[in-house]
Amino acid sequence: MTFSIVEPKDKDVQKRRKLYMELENCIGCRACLAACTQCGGHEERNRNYVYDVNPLVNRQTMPLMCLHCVDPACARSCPAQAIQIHESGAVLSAMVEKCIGCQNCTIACPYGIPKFDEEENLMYKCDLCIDRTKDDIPPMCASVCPSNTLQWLTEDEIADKKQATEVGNDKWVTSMPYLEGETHVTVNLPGVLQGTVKLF
Amino acid sequence: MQKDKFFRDIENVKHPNEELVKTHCSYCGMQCGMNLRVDKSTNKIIGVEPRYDWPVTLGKMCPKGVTAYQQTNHDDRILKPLIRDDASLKGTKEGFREASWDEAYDLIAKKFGELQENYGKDSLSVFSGVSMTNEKCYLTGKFARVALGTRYIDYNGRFCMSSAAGGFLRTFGVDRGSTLPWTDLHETDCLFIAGSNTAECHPTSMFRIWAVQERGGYLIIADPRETPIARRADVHLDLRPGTDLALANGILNLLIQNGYADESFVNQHTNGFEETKELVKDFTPEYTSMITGVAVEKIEKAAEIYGKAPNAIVMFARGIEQQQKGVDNVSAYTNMALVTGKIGRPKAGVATFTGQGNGQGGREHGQKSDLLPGYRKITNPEAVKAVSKVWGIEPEEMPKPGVSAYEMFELMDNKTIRGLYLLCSNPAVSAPNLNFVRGALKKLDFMVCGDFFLSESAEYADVILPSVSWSEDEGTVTNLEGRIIKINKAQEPIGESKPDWLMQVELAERLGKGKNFSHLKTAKDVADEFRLATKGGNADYYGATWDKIDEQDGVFWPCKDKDDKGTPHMFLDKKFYHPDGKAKICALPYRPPAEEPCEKYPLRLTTGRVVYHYLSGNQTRRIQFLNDMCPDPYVEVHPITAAKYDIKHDEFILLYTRRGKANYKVKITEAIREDTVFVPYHFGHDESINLLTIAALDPMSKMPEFKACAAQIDKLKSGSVL
Amino acid sequence: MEEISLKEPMKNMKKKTNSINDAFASKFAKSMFIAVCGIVILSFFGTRMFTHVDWNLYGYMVGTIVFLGGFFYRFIAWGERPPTKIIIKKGMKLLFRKSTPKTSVDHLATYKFIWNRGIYRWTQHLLIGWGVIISCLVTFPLVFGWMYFTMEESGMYTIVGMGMDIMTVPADGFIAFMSYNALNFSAIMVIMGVCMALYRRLKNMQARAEQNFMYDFLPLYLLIFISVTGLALTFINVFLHGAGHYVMSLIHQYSVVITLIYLPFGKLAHIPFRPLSVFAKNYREHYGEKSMKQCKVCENEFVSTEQSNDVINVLGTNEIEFNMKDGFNLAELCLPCRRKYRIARFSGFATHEVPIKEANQNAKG
Repeated sequence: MTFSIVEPKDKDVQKRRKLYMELENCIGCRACLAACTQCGGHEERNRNYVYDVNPLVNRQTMPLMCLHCVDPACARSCPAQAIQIHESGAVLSAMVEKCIGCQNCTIACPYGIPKFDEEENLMYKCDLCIDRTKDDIPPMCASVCPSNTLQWLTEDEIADKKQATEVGNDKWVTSMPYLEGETHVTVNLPGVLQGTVKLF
Repeated sequence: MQKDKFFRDIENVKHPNEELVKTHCSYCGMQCGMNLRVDKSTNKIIGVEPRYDWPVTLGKMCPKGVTAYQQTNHDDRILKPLIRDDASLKGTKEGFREASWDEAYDLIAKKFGELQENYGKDSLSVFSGVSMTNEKCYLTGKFARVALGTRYIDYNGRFCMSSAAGGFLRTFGVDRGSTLPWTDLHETDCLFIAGSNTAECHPTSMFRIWAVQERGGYLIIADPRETPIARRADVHLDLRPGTDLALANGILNLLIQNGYADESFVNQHTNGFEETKELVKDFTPEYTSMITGVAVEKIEKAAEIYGKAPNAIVMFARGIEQQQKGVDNVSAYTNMALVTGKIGRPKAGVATFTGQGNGQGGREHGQKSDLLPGYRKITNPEAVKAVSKVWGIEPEEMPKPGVSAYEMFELMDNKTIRGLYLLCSNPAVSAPNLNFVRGALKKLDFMVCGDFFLSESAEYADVILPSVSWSEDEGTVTNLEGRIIKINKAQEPIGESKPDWLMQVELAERLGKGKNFSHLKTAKDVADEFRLATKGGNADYYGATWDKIDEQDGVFWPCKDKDDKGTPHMFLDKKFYHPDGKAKICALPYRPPAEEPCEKYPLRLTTGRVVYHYLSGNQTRRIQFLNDMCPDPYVEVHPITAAKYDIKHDEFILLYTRRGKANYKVKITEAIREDTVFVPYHFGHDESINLLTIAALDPMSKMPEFKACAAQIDKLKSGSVL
Repeated sequence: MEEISLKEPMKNMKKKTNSINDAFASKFAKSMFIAVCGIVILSFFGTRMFTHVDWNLYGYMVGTIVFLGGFFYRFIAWGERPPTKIIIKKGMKLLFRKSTPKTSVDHLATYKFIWNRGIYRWTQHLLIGWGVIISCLVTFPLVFGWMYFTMEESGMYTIVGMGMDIMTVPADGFIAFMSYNALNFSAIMVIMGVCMALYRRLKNMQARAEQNFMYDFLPLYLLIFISVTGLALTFINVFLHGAGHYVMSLIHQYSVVITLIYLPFGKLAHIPFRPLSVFAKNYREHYGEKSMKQCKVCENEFVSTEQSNDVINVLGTNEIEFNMKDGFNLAELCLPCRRKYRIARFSGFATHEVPIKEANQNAKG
């Protein structure tokens, strides 16, 4: 196995990379939250989440962030058409001049992702660090994730992952049935290592 | 060059009117690569950008690293020298007034002079740390011995790395924390990790560690707690705190019994195998299980996996080292690698997770009471001669060895030591048995503290000198691999703060030692003298110039001259550093922890880190994100134990030992042994767990036993918080 | 950027009709008819039966009519979207809540929420916003003759509003001065505000990431163009004694007309649509007072029952349904529980049922 140094792809390269989440890897360090606040456009507020799966029992954690639905309920429910979808598939934060502060999106999102700032009367959410990802630079969360829970991979690399971890236990997931619809983010559930062939 | 292109061309990475300064994190031994974003018009650090091309960490950072830049221009920074005239206010934040550098230097020179005149040269002491560059560590040693002329210098590595150092020196004859580069980790077949909460303490190692499992390799973890890394381990050896030596001996016994010993390697390259074999015979799985509390099957499985693995790396950290037999633990786990011959080749070896940023480099170059630069003994006349020449003193002027960190507090308590220059450390939180240590600090006649935040220890000082953060000075650091790397200056020092080396040069001039110091005008000058001073030592940095570090992405020591590319893998020639070229397999009889649980104190208390904080928390507790995530200490208790004491999640309890007590919020978790409680150690004042810990020192490394002592819990009546 | 294509909600297609609506081919036709009639009637009275029309300004009239066309087209298309429809319908019903005046002032006049986003942005928005509002308040009454000035021989000016003499003031007095120069002041306000906005767009990373020329810069350039040409008119009159006045006034007029026509289709559309935020606030407050929805897991109240149902229905019209096997719709869970529920789906362990508050998820960097 090699870890390649992340390089920006040329703009004309059609094969954009996507966010890939391998939940088994999460160590709960919340570097993704800290890094989220550092993204140029995030105004020092994080837009993602990390949960203790069973806080009274063990240390298992999982990140949760916008999965960038192909048909996003948040945008569907927005009376002001303030939630736009970038050509890369990223579902963006509400446009400041359009958002009327109704908070429909927070109710509509099946994963509870959008956050709402009462003072500013404005919704904000993960925009996949659009200032970076539009040029195929990894988003901040995936850039720093020390455990490789969050990775920024090409379709081919994700296909390789799928091949390596598809163990017939239904834990390789791209959307259904563990999600509510097709998403641009690929999620790989805990348990994928069960089928790993041991070296010796 | 590829990596330059990366940053230059992508506008969204390199924002307009900003400069990216490549450097490394200020915190742990991983020394993750990062770029600091500097606003060109204000010359202020304003953010961080991943350094994707740093080969060790590939841009990855933990939450501490991501927010590290916020220290530099933090509101709490000390901007001017502070003097406190009223000694009765020691131990509080009160009574400091701003002063000029001249006034501060004059006062220090006068007081130090008086003390040395009345009580002798050795009435002064220097207590240092290793979260600073090699150049500063080096100069601190020189400052103590040449400018102050005292024998009493030691450093906070005694609470951190000294057991690993002692163990490696005894076993290999040389102490380089890792025998191989970190870029080998993910390619090995089995990782045996003891006493390391890697996911929280060295998070950026984790992607390599998980990769071992992803490839089908094995992960074996020895830890009393089911830490995030232990949760996913193939075998989790959940031993009682303080029983590592038995576990290591038990596994070694199984390795030998089951024929995994590499006899030709053992015969050719090691000493001491037969007597060790004899000694560990007693450590049958059953006997080991009885001492450690680990199930027999797990011990057997761990031994089998490690034995079978074509390549394996044994790794450990403070969990095994911060015990009064820490050195023995290190040697005992290292025995596993030596007996099976899994060392001296790529993808196999032994490594310790260095805790502090420069825990490796800082211990090599003369801050330790008995060491001179280049990792040479101060008792060795040849070394004294060589270093004296570089320093411009007569060999006879070289002070004798001093005492270890904790022992210095004992000497302060009995008034042998009357003056202290403390820098880069916060012993009022990090030392064990704090009631005693804080008392000793209070007894000092005169104390100077160099720091950039007003730490709990600085509260005991008479004079505080404002030093700079890591981003306002340059120099080299040796990371946990033994790779010498370069910290770059991103911003001018704020306020009137100065780098520690400059303070020491200027102070030395006041103390009349200008001839030994005045030629050091820049960090580079110090670096050049430092490299020269290490020449010929085991830790030879002579060839590790700043240019070479830049070109090669770091240089692994030893690096003897300008053509030497450094030594990423140690012992490839199977030559160890003992005079006969052989490593020593040590026969180590088991000793229990200094304080075993009893009727009055039935619980085992162990301490450690959380991912959001670093060491005494003096830096990280001030960073908003980190403090928001973990504002208070807590005590982890197993639900069965909690039921016994009738305590609930989030309830405050009184935790106490023979030495001290404190209130903590309860965190119920099954990820800890029933007989053990855990408290993180990053918190100050009344919240410090080190009020409770024991100062039982390892006879060789003088490492206190932070990781195991006997404790008891009292349920509080409502409202009666301490 | 692509906008989400609209799926026409089927059940809204057949609607009861009444006699007045039958007279029009479409909602659009009706709206246009009413608006144009309204303007004509107002002008009829304002100009004393069309005796005081300033025909120099006819270009603006045409522009306004085209603007109305575009505005109704956009607004109606937008208002047909199910979520918008609900807010408009229920917002209209709640228009006379006691809090409406305060909310309107906060949202539409003082921009309190923008203050909370930053003083710089507030200042910039206040300057542009009020600059544009003042300009409109002066320009359109003049264009349609709702307001004009007459000069008395005594050196007094009479301000005529809706055909009535409102007041008579000295021609060199303060009020007269303010009246002549209102557009100059508003132009300066707009120019300052736009410059601040442009500066922010060059500096702010979020803005830089998402902005594009047509959407974000064009309206700013249009505004600045109108303001500069407007000021140039004053300059020509005062310093060049009217030289080139005709050409410049034509340029100015064209710039206004183009902006008016463009307005409903770009970023500036938020000006006429912004009052919806008052509707939204009323909607949340009113139904929140009536009945709050309890989270199906933790039983904390988190949103009004009405809104929860509305969102479920709106998503239903788009064939999105989040009914879970566990017996609830996801919109019936509070946000932390909904997130934990997802974690539970991922892990197989019922995280949402562990009665422990979620760890801090909102730390600031």
